[in-house]
Amino acid sequence: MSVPIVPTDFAHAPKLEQLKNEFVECYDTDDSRKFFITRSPGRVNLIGEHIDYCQFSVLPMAIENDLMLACRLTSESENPSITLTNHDSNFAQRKFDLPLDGSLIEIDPSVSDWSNYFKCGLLVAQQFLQEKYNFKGPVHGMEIYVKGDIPSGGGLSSSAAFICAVSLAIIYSNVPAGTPILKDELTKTTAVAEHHVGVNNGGMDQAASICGIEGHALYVEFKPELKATPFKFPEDLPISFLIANTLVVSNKAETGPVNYNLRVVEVTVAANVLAQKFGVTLQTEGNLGKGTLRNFMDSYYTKYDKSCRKPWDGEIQTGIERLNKMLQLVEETLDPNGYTLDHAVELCGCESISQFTELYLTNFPVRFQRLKLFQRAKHVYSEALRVLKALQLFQKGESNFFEEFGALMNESQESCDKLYECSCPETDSICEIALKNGSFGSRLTGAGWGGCTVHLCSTDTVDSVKSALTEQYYNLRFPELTAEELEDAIIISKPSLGSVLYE
Amino acid sequence: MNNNKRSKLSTVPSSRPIRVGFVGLTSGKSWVAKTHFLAIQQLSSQFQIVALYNPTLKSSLQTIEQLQLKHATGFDSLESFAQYKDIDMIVVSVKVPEHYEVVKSILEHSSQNLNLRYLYVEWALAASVQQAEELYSISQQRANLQTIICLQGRKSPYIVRAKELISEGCIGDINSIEISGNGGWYGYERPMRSPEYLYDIESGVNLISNSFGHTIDVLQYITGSYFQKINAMISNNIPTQFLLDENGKRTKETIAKTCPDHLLFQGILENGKVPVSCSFKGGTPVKKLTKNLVIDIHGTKGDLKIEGDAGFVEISNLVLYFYGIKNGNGSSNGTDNNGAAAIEGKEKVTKSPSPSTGTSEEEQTMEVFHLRNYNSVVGNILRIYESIADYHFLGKPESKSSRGPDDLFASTKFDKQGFKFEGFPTFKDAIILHRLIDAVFRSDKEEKTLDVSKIMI
Repeated sequence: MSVPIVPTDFAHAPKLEQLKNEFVECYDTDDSRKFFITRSPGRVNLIGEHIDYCQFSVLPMAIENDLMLACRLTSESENPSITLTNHDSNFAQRKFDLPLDGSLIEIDPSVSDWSNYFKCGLLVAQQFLQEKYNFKGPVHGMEIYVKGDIPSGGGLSSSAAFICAVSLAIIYSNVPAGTPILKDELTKTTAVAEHHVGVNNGGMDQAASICGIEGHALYVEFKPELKATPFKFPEDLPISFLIANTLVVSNKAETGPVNYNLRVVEVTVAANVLAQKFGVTLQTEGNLGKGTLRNFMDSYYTKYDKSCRKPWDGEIQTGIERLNKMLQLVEETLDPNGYTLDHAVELCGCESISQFTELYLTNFPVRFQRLKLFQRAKHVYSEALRVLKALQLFQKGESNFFEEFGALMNESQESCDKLYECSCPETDSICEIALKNGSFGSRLTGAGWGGCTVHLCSTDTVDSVKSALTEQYYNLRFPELTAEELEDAIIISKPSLGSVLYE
Repeated sequence: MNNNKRSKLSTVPSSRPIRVGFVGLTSGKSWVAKTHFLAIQQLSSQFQIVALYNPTLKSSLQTIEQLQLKHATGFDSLESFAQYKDIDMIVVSVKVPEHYEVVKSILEHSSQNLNLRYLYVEWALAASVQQAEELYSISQQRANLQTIICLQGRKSPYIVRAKELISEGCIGDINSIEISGNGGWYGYERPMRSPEYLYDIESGVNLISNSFGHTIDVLQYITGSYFQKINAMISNNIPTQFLLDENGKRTKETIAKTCPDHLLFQGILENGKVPVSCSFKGGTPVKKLTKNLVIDIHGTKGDLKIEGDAGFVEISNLVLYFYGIKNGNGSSNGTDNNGAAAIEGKEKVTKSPSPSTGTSEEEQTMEVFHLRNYNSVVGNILRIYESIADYHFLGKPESKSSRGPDDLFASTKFDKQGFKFEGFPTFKDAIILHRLIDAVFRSDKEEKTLDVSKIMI
């Protein structure tokens, strides 16, 4: 499957025409140079939170909110440079030159700057061009105007949408016209992009943004390779997803050392402590190259279960069985009181603090007091289990989908809150209000620590949930919100189309 | 202050970019081409290269062509270069033994050039403290000239993070400090192409002025204290070195070296009378069982250590380890419950989620700070340029009022960065370091512990 490249008469597409006008207002008119627009949507993860980097599958969908990049190539006679303008004035204009020798752009991961996300998309796209097309020179310079309606820092993956739109634009403008840009290649290319700004993410967001399909959720798998399979929601059910923003800003890159990146470390250490206890060796996979909780599951079964000495292939029934076993092992072996540094060092089989540090703590900045291995591992295995159960519901397509899927979402929220500690009081409050007023399942989505919540509603209940949230959450906590801000805080979205390019 | 959150900060000025003239930018593989030039490329809306001076016009023109500097003019006379009215900033990156002549000549010939507002020189400012004092004193008479010294270690994210942790009281009071470093090429081996002047004691470039200079400046910057008294012993146990061929293999050829190959330094920091002991190795062989750069700071409530594989703090990608308390004494405004404030900024509205169980405020916190993809060679210099641009387009450090680029009055000029997070180091900061280094040599020569408590005046 390749990204749709849609020949477009902008005059007949009002939203695109408007964007082009804003572009021209910002730069100027010059029809002699190539102009095009790339679009990539945000996503909402329905279930399967914080397990992508443990290589367990997840179930997101692309939403209607998106990010668009209006792009125009700069003149060939100038040194290639990138100028970035954002519709949102919180993101100030940027301009930088591209290395003339075709070397990759530098990214300063210590600084939080929106242009860094652009550079991530640029960098991975250029690497892709080098590898696939033996591309040598600097990429084309561009003037770019960015406009989107995905709340930033809201857990709907505005950064991934941005990066996907950027990589798409870069690849498109540096390959011969008509070259198809394959979705799975674009997904793999962009999946690691945010690592360059120190965010240790898994690849779900990019897969969902690029591969979204109308009316479908996406089953995103990470093993044996990154893959997104569309699943149609059960027919004829009046499903409606409501997304409510807590308005608590959460930026993964900035709070990473105590939140996001620390969780990645905790689950990796948990996998290694379990491996030590059961005398198995882990594959050197995962974001830290130190094995994942899925690796532990596979190693355990390879060693101890004579009936099937092979890694889990994704089959649902086997998965449910094995994950339940893993949960039992976690209960039996890990300590709910958390682990001090010294304790973790010993249990991982490390000689010293410095060895432990070198192995687990130097990949991304982290800061902690205790490592909560029990809680984190328990969350991951149980959440992976819930994804499989959710998938069964999709396959059965039964009429009690609302109740059953809703229950899984609620369990997921409970686990995120109590075990993974990535919820927050605002999220809890929104979920409680929604559930009392017609939501069947309510949970945080994305990394958490603020950001957005997602609610499974029917078309009959979605309005009552919306008005209850307005009255009991937004009016109370954020009385100063304008009507427009309130409008933006609640999104009702169907599963929508992924990345696309208009030329 | 938070230099790390920049999304809202405009970096595409409404006025024209700062026009830069380079002394010592030659094409291809020169130090400036691999550092300053790349930094400027990333800040193309704020800086533009408009002039190059090299001893031959041909070399300048070649560079202009190869780097495609479309706005640059080549000069082969330092006099006309310094008078060139289109230059706002001159960057000097030539051999240190030439600094004095070049910078002096620029200062003399640019005295009528009122557009010239910034003079940016690589560390060391000059080959001797006397030369440096003279350059400093001339530059001081220029009311509208802001000087900059490239002590870029001060902008390293690791150094800034260490400074934050210490200033927030996260390791309590400092007890003692140990440092070890490495001068790279002052060991038993020397690369074939390495320029002779680096090994000549008369040139003013050596283990002490260069790598020790950068490192000890960074230490003072982190701790926020100058030294009170110091003592040093300098060795030259390796009077001849082996030459290395292009592949880094040792040849049988040997070559003389008059520069020192080891420095023992110890001293007392003024603040808290903190003892510092320091051992700088000349170069190869590198240490096998210890990192080649270590800054180990021990406090009453915690420890902080910076390590690097190469000995050069100013251009190395480092790792910072911290084990201490997460909320220091004087930091109510800085750290939130998550302790991530230093990274996320004070105005951040992020609320801390989920009260943690089994941990308490007094429990020790471990932090490892490492940026895997950080290019420190370019990055640290880039950050100096960013600070210059912030100063130029947004106003003097600490002053909120922004001003146009055309009204730089004498009063807006600042004397030194000292220990401030904001701004950038100046000739004054360079002079203080030169005086300290001079004291190091004198202490060795006179075999005395010297009082250096007045050198910052």
